[in-house]
Formats: sequence, C-alpha cells, structure tokens
Amino acid sequence: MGKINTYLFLLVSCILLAGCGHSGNVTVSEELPPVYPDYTNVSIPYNIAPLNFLLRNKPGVVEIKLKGKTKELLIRDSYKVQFAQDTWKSLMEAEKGNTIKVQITAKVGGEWIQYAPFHWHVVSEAIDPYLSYRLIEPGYEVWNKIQLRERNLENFNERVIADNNLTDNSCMNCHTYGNQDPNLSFFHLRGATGGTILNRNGQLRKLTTKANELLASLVYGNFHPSGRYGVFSSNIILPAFHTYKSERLEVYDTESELYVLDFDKNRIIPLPEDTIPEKPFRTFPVFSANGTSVYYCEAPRVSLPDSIHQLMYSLHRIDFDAASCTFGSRVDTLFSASEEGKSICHLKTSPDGKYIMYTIADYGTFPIWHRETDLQMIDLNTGEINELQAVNATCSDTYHSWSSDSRWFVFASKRDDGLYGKPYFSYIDEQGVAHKPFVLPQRDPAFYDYTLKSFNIPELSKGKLPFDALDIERMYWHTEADTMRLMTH
Amino acid sequence: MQTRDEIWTQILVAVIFIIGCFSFFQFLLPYHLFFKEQTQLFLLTTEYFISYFSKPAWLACYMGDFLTQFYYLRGGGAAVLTLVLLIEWWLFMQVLRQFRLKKGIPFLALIPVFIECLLHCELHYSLSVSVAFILVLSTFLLYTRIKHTWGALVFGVISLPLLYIIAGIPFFLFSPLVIIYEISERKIRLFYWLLLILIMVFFPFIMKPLYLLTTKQAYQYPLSSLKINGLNLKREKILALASESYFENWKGVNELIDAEQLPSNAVATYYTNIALSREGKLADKLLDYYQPFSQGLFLQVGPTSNWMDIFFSSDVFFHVGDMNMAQHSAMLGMIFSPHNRSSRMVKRLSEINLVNSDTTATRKYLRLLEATWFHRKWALEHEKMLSGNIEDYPWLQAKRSQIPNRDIIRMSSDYPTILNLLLESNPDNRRALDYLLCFYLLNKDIQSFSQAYDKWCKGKEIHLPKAYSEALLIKLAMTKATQKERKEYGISDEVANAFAEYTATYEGSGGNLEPLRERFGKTYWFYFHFARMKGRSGE
Repeated sequence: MGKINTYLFLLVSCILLAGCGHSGNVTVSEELPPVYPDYTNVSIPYNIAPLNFLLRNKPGVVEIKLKGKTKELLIRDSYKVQFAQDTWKSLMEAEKGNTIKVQITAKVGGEWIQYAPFHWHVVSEAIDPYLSYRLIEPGYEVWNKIQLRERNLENFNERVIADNNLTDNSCMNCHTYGNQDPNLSFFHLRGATGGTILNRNGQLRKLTTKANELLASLVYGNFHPSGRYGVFSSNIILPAFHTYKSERLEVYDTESELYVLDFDKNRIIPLPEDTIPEKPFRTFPVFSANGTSVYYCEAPRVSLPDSIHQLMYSLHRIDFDAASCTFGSRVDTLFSASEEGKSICHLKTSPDGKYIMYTIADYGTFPIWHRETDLQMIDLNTGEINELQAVNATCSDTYHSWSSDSRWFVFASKRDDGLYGKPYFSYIDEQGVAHKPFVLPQRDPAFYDYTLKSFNIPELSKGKLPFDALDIERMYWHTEADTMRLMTH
Repeated sequence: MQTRDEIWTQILVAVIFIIGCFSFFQFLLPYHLFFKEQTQLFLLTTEYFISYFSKPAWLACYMGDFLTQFYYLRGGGAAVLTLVLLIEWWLFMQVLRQFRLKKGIPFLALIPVFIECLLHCELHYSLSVSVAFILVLSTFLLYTRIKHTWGALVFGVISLPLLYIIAGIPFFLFSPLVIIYEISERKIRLFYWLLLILIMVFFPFIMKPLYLLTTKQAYQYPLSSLKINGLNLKREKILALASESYFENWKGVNELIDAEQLPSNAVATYYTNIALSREGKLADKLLDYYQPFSQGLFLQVGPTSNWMDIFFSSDVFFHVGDMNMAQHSAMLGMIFSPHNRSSRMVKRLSEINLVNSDTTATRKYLRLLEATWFHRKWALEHEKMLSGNIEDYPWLQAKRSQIPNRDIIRMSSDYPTILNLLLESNPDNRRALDYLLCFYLLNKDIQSFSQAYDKWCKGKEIHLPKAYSEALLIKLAMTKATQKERKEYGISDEVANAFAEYTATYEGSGGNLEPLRERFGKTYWFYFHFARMKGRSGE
C-alpha cells in the first residue's frame, strides 16, 4: 500500500510539473509583457502599496521573478498578479534605493513565453502617504453622485470624506491642502446651506461670502504657508461644446477675479484696482512657498466663445505682504502667452520653493479635455522651463499636486482611454529630472477597466484628514456659516 | 399533512398564476422589462460584487440585479418575474401555515404577490425587493423550525440585523411574523418581542452612518421611492418605440407608429421622427403626428428634466451624426439613470467612439460589456471592427462620413449651428438637412427655414416634401412672390391650389380653426396658425 502511495505521489507530481513547469520549453520574446497598468520601468517610492497588475493577453499561468540587490522573489499567479502586502513591504524595505528586475514568464495558449524584463527603481524618499480626490463621472459640467475620498497610498484602504448623498446632492469641488498638511485644507460645498469648508488645525468651519459682494462663488484657491490666508479666484464659468470628434468640452470664464481671504478676521481683500480700462481675466492663484508672492494666470479679454482659440493665459507674479495683508505694485510676467503661443493654468508651487508646475495647452483656461494638454514646470531660480517629457502623454495631463518634500507629484491623466482621469505619480530627482509616472495601484488590477468614475484633483497629504463624511453632513445641515466681508480699496 | 384536494388546489392556483403572471408581463409590459435591463450593467467581476457591500441589502440587490439581466431576453423578464413571484407565493403559503390557518391558504398567499405584481409595474421597483422578501420569509421559516427556546431567541435576535444587511428594509416583516407566530403558538415573550421591535426600529438608524445614507434612505433601502403610479400603458408604448429603436428593429418601430394610437408625448414623437427621418420621410409626414414644437426633434435636457428624457436624448445626435453631443448626452443618460450605469448607454458610447476612431475609449466600454453575460457577444463583434476593414461595416462607414470636418464651439442647445456644420462637412447628410429645416418649421421660424432651404436645397434636384412646399408657400405669400418664383421652387399646382383654398377658408372664417381642421389639420399652414405650446400664455 505504501509503495502504491509513493508511485501515485510521483505520478501526480510528474503530471503537475509537466503542466506547470517550463524548463527547456520557453520562447524568449524581446517584447515587454502586455502589463496593465503600465508599470514597466518606473520609479516608485518604497512605501507604495503593491503594484498589482494584469497581463492583457490573459495567460493561464504567470511566473514573476523579482530580483533586487538583496532579495529575490518568485511568484506564480493567474493573469492577474496580486502581491501579498507583507511580502511586498519587506521587499520594498529591503530594496530601498535599489533597482528590482521584473522578469515575467507566462503560459500563453499552451506555450511558455519569457518576456523582456523591466525594472522598478525603488526610491528611498517616501511619498506622502495619503491622497485625496473627487470621484465623479466625466459628465462634463453636470453631476449626480459625487464623493471626496481619501486613500492610504501604503495599502489599499480608502474612505469617504464627503458624500453629496448626505448633503442634498449638492455639488462639491475638489479638496485642497495647505503645505500638504492634513490639518489645513478646504473645499467648496455648494447648495443652499453650503459654503467653503475650512479645516484648520483640525477644526472645521463653514465660510460664506455675502451675496453679490463677489463676482461669483469662490472657485480655485490655495493656502498661504502660514495657514491664515487663502488666495482664491472667483469665476463665472460656462461650458460649451466642440464639434470636432477628438475635442469634447470647452470650459471658459466670462468673468474672473482674485481675492485673498483672511481666515482670522473673516475678511476678503481684493487685488489692487486695475489701471487699464478692460479688466483682464485672472485665475488659478497660488502663494509662493515662502508666502511673499502670489502667482496667477492672466489673459486679456477676447470675445467668447467665438475667439476661444485666442484666449491665452500668461503667468504673473505680484508681491504679497502677509503682515499687512497688502499687495505690491509691480507685476512680473514669468511666462508670456503672446510670446510662447500657449496658454497656462493650474499653477502649483513646489514646497521647497524651487519650481512652479502648471498645465500648458494651445488655448483656454480649463483644457482638461484637450489632448495636447501637458504638464510643465519653471525653475524659479533660472526661469528655465522643464517640459517634463517623461511624464506627459498624448491625452490630457492636468491637476497636479506636490508632495511635502517636493520629490513626488501626483497628477490626473486621461492617457489610458482619453476619458477617465486617473492619478499618476512621478518622481523628481535632485537634478530636477522627472521620471516615468505610474498610476495609483489598486487591489484588483482590473479596477480601472470597470470603473466609470474619474479621479479629479488628486492631492497628496502627510497624514490622515481629521474629518469624515458625517462631519461634513453635520457641517452642511447644522453649522452656521461665518460670513466673510469684502474690504474695499 | 395536506389533503389531496388541497394539493390539487395548490397546483391549480400555481398553474393559473404562472400563466396569468407570465402573460401579464409578457404581453402587457414587455418593453417595461427590457428597459429595466437597459438601465443596469451587471458585471461578472469581483470588484463589482464587492461594490454591493457598501449599501444594505447587498445579497438581495446582487441577486435581484443578477436576475434582472435576463430581462434582456425576449420572454426572459416575464419568466424570471413569474418564477420569483411563484417562489414568494409558495413561501407565503408556508408562512400562513405556521399561523395555523387551514383554509384558503393558496388564495390568501396570492394577495401579497398580486400587490408585488403591481409594484413591478413601477420603473423604480426593483427585483431586489422581491428577492429581499424571499430572504426574509425563508429566514422566518427557518426560525419556526428551531424548537429549542433559547436557540430560537438567539436566532431571532441575530438574524434580524443580519436580514437588514442582506435584505434591507423588507426585514421589517420579520418581527411581526415572529410575534404573530408566537401568539399563534401561545408563546408569550414580551421582552423578546420588545427587543425585536427595538432592533427593527433602530437598526437602520444605527447603520445609516456606515452606509452613508440619509435617514429616509436607511428606512426604505433598497426601495428608491415609495411612489405608486400603477400600470402605465401609455409609457409602455413609449418604451416600445425606444426599445425597438435600440434593438435596431426599425421595421418594428414603423409598425408601432402605423398601428398604435401613439400618446401625445415628446419622447413618442422623438422616436417617430427618428424613424421617419431614417426613411427620408420626416418632412413628408412631419405633421401627421403630434409635434410639441422642436421638443419632438431634440429632447429638452436641463436641471428639471426627468431622467428618462435625458436617457433617450443621445439617440438623435447619433442619428444625425453629431458624435460629440451624442457622447455628452449618453454620459448624462448614464449618470442620471437609476443605477448610474447602463448597458444601453455603454453600447452607445462604444459605438460613438468607434465612429470617432477613438480606439482606446472604444475598448474601455467594450471591456465593460465583455464582463457581462448578455452583451459580451455584441462587444466581441464590435471589437473586431476596431481592427477590421471599414468596408465590411457599411453602417460604420456611413456614420464616419457624417462627422464634422472642422471644429467650432457651440452651446449645447444651439442645434442649427451643429446641423449647418454637419451639412457643410457632408452636404449629402439628408438627416441633418431634414432636422435643420424641420427645427425651423416647428419653431415657426419661416425666415430661417427659407434661408436654410435656399442655401442647401434650392436649385438641386431633390424631392420637395410636403411640409417644405407648404412652408415655402407661406414664405412666398409673405414676400408677395411671383408665380415664376413659385415655379422655381418646384411647388406643385395641387399644393398651391390647396394653399389658396386654405387661405380663403381661413379669411372667411375670421381665423377660426374648426372649419379648417378636417381638411387641413395635417398641413403646415394649420400648424403655423394654430399650434400652441401647452402651458404657454394665450393657449
């Protein structure tokens, strides 16, 4: 009986090995494996969640060999490769600063194929561990269900921080941090009892402006590094439609103006009065990293929508004195739209003060549907423009946010399908060279195939936000708003 | 133990119920069921399954939605509903038996099932609710099998909150059933009943923060509305037109238009107009049907529009070749549909992107369809079109020829701009031409009509449809044109004579519509003089 068992064991082992093994019968391919998401040859932070992926050709069995400097792993999986979190974490810790070679061999249609290897450069500088974003269908200017969510980048945990189901289906704009600090952030919650939700030192406040005092609602904004001030644009926004197939929506302002909000004194300070008769469009203001300047986009008025292709925004800078809350009188132009023949928007200063990253397009103020829309950054010391060629793709790349150490940035890209924005992360090394980006990893690598939501305005944060959707529900329904008053010149 | 007669009665009731229920849904409401399937997209993926855990009633909803996908098949909806309601009826019989009822059980058990039958006539009433009732009734029957006193108490207390999690608000039925059962068994346990009632009343409230629901939603999930409208055969006719056009069964659509007394409704007119336009008969038969001004050409989409109008609004843009607006409307249709995802809209989005030669976007939508049971085949066929020879797909070739060849910016309701652009890009786009001219006609904008007609049609040897010749006569009368000018438009003497007769009668009656209705009720002249929008002043 014992002998029979031994023979049976050997027989079963042989059958299994014949079915699974591939020694001697492997076709070597020079092509990279059809990995989705594209995680080939990317730089990743050591604290990122497992880069689960799938193979588009759906092989029956996949063998992945991960070879680092100190550690080696052999994993066998289906066409969906999902790493155990503990194994992944220990590999990342061990290979911090090193490069991991990823060798994939897959059984495709009964034949074993060994694909060309690719590499993961494990960067020893951690990325800020939290990411917030708005999930919304790319329904252009309308919404039905909106959530703001916060994702832990070190694992797959995600939670809802605001849900419009609890706030009378009101629209909510994207969530913005100050200094990537979880205790300093805001977002605009529209609706009858809405307002700007300010999270400062972990305390929530609801701010409103007096009706008709401002041009329109506050829209794009940014915190002063002190946290006391915010600089905002107030915009009257209109959507219009392109007729050509590859274009979709054009969003433009018919009016726009800038204001500084003093959160301590509940006051609104406008920009100095214009000396020119025709007020230009001004939008996307941000403070410099040290808080002594305000950068913003400005464009001369054109007839809209007819002359939309002539609507081009330049990058300007004006001094700001936080002690007296006053602006300087001189305006510098860092990027001239008329000279470059391009329009810029979505400004973001790096926390180390070295760069301003922005979105550049052929024209317009909100080119998230323009295919030519790319990211660029200016070196504020040299004025040199970095075109971020390793980062940009053929579809729009917009809505970027820096990590607190200025070594990583996240942005929304439609590169996958041209429709649905997804958060991509890119590393910027000491020389200011940006590396090939990678998409936010998901537990199920097919996640992006089946989602019908876009990730809007992804923003990095050093920690977890001190509020959740229920706090926002309470703020919406039961909290009195503090009214901000406009100061006159 | 049931007697032979009781068993036969049950069988007889079951057979009558099966025939009646199946016939009711299959012959009275087939399109209502098709439409329910069109407004969901059931994916056979792990992520999709997990997504059900974020709300109560996950098991009922998952099973209900799983079964709803069979509504796609002709007869499938009626068969599935009959089966589910039959199970419910059988379970109700078992429940009534626990209450020691002796007579009339098969008939009494029919009462709640009849009510459910009527509720299934509502578009917002989902099969998940019936599945939820089945789960609750089954749990109750399981409860009655537990003879151990403490075992039953523990089972009752544990299963009640679990029922909310898996079945949602129909869990409210459990506590009364237990109490009635225990009274019938002469087991009086007041504290236990009180505990059950407290769980029943407060558990949804306790769970509402976890599920991110409002209090109202927590106490009605998975019901999305408590509104009951009853059987709506007028809507069924509209859904018939909408579904047959979705199935590309234009012969069927034409039969519906010819055979049915169509309701005076913008959506019914909208699909009638699309069907007429496909055959090049829009301007010939335009006024044979109810026309709510231009709203029967382009459905009005705005903040107060109902979701069904939004859902259908992309079809006309796809029909005339405005792919960008078709895409926008299809996205909106999906966003505002009850499940925020729709197999019909995803198919339309695949087609739009296929026409636009946007391979990556097409694949995005085809992958979604490939993860379904009933749309997978369609997706695989369309996947082939991505890499295939366009000449093998005449519909695709025709659609691509309609695409505008230059870019301008326009507001979403600026239809003349896009229709003119479509014509500039492809002057043979007869659909765009008819929609442009009929848009002006239905808005009584004779001047714009005549300018557009002169620009696109004058001097060309094309058939002059009835509505156009009638409108041109109005324009010619306004400008006091000569006989020669009339001849240049190729207006027949017959129509010109009829116009003279109409004018004489109109003037003779002092502008009264009644003497004109019978003879001229379907002419553009009559529409021009007497059509008023409902609700407008001066109606």
